[in-house]
Amino acid sequence: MLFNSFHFLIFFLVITTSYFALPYNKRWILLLAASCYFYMAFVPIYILILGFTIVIDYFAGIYIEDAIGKQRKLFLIISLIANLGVLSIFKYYNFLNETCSFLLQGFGLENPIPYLSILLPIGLSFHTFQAMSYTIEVYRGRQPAERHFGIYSLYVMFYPQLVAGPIERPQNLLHQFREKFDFDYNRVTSGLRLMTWGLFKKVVIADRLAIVVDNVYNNPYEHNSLSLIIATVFFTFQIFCDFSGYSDMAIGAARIMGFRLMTNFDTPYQSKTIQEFWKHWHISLSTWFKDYFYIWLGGNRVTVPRWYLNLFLVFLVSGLWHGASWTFIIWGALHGFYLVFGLATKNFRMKINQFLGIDRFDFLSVLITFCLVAFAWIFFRANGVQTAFYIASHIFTGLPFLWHKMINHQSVFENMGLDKYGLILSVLLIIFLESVQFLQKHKNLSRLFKTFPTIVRWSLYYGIILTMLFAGVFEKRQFIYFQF
Amino acid sequence: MKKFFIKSLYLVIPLSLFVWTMENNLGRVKNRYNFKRNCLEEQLDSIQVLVLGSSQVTFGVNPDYFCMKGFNLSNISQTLFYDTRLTMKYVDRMPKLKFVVINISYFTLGSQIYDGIESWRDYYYSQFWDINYPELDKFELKRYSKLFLYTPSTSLSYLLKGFDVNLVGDLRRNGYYWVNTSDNTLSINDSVGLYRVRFHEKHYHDSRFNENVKDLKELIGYLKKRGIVPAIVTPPVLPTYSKFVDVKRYGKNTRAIEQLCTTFDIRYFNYFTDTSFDKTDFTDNDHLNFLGAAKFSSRINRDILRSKPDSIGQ
Repeated sequence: MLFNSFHFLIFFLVITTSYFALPYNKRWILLLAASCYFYMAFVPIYILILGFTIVIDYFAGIYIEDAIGKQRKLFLIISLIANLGVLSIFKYYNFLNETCSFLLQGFGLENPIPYLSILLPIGLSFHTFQAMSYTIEVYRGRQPAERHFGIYSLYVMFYPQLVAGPIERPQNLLHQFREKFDFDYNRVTSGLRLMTWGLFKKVVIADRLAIVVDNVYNNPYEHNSLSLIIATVFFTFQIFCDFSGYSDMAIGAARIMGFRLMTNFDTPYQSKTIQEFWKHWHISLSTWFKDYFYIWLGGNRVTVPRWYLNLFLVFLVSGLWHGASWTFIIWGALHGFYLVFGLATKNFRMKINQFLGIDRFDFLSVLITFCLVAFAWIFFRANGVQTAFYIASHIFTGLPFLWHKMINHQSVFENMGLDKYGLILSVLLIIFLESVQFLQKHKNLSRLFKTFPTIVRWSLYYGIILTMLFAGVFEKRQFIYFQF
Repeated sequence: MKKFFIKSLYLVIPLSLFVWTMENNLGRVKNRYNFKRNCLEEQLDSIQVLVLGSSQVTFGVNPDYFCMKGFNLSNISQTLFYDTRLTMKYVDRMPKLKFVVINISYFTLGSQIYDGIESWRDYYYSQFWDINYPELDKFELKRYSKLFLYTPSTSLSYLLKGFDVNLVGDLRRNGYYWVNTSDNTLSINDSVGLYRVRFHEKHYHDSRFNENVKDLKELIGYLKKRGIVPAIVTPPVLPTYSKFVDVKRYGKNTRAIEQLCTTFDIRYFNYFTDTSFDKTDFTDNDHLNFLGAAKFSSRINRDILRSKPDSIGQ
């Protein structure tokens, strides 16, 4: 069930109304049943996979808490193996198998291991990480084991963030299922506004940009440099609007019922460095990697080369987390390289910037960071490694020729799936988005919104709804991050 | 809660009124589906020949050339699923019906609209013919709303034109779609033909074969029970199309049809590579123009409608 579907609208209205109608102590049952229904709307049978890991982790949590000495570690390892085992089978088995086949072919050998014809359960990576954070936190003694099986299941399956995060920590979410949330007008309207903004980003911006991106990226060999650049920039905003739109809807839906989910995006494209970008992009995943992998590797309390290696490894694994494909691994490696290179040359770059006097222009740093991030997205979006390298190597090669055509008043725009007005609208939407983001960074928009006269506020409500209706793309495009 | 409820009404009531007005006006827009349905329902009492199938017969069979009253119930991309349901829905209301011409093209037995890029047509059948393909999403708004069926942006353009739009085109009251071709040189050649065959093959799924054969059996059995004569035809195409088809797939289709014909004792007329149709009869590699439609309809009239069922077969 997609957040941008009529099915979800009905589901959401029924569940939210029932939630407030039920007594506090019965609400978890409704939410758990709703979450099961929500998940089963995709591929019903995959609920069994979730069920399997839920049972393992539930008991692992209790045994870890009750056990002493090495047994605690043993139960943690069992839980981690179960979670990562399921993830490996469904997500990485065929990828590893294909890689083996490729390597063996080099030696003229055939791979005897069969290919498994299985679909990746939707949102499995998110679910796995959230489940792992629970057992790790119990092991570290920072979270008591949850003894109520229903509440624990709900922690892992809570429908707003079940398939694409934010990846919550037990300390933040588990206790909320026992809190008593009354209907609060301000909280409910704030949640609804956030959901509407998220839906706007998804159906009006992301899915519109996706038309151009799909058109160009599915057949890059037939497009010129300008199209490749436009499609890459569009994808940069598409993935942001798609994923942050989902997160906004998830946070908004939870907020209406009283739950506080963590912020997942905070104006990432206005970051001045790659390091800053990762503090503002997919925050729940970045902090997960920091807390459970980077620190486990030793973090920065090691020698400098080892620190750089730790950082690089984190991004490599982060790439692999996103998808079982070399394109994602290269994307992760690129970000790892950006970060390590940035740190290694920090002092040198600062001196140069000071010398040239460009350290006063934040805009330049934002632009450079944006270009680096956009370039890395090529590998994330491309249909294969070969295609990605083709795009990366041809993105600027034809520009002189295009420039020549332009000064001779010849058309340089190709058929990219949208007409001239569609492209202009897309650019205007990106400008609108970044303006809102800019305002959001400097002012509390919700508070500012409340100061507007009623007529302005209501005109904005109608305007946004009608824009969504008439400028939205209703093709039931899946959210990009659902595949992970 | 009360405050929230009242404020929600401020938002919902004007929007609902707007949507209701749009739905009402869009409901009055004539398109090929509701136009054809209205034409069919007006002529039910007099129809003697019914033609079923996809675009190859929509553009290729003009019932005016029949010796008896005919109606072309085919439509672009219409599959056997809809041929069967449409016939079963109306056959008992057509007292004079004698013949049903069933079109089986190269791709028919492996196609369902639902699988392809024209899946939006499923919702037109749902809204205008009240026939729902079983795999359709029950929660899809296109099933219930004309605003979403036409898409909101297109609906907005209709609103700006005061809903004064003609979506019927050259569809005639006998269900035939008239196509003129002043210059077909660009649309008839090997590369376009190959592209067209590949397009059809892309939407041909072997997994759909049995479903379609089952529908065909059901349709034929239903007609035979009522004493109506079904006949299967494969319309003509140009060599720029036929030479690219997968011979194995073509053979599989033909064998299935012939087996059905033997089982039900009905006739099959295969004009696929009929050389009496040439470039001047076509609008593109696999669609006849009005000249070709006149010729093909006359052939159907001669071979099927005028002949005695027990003496002719191909």
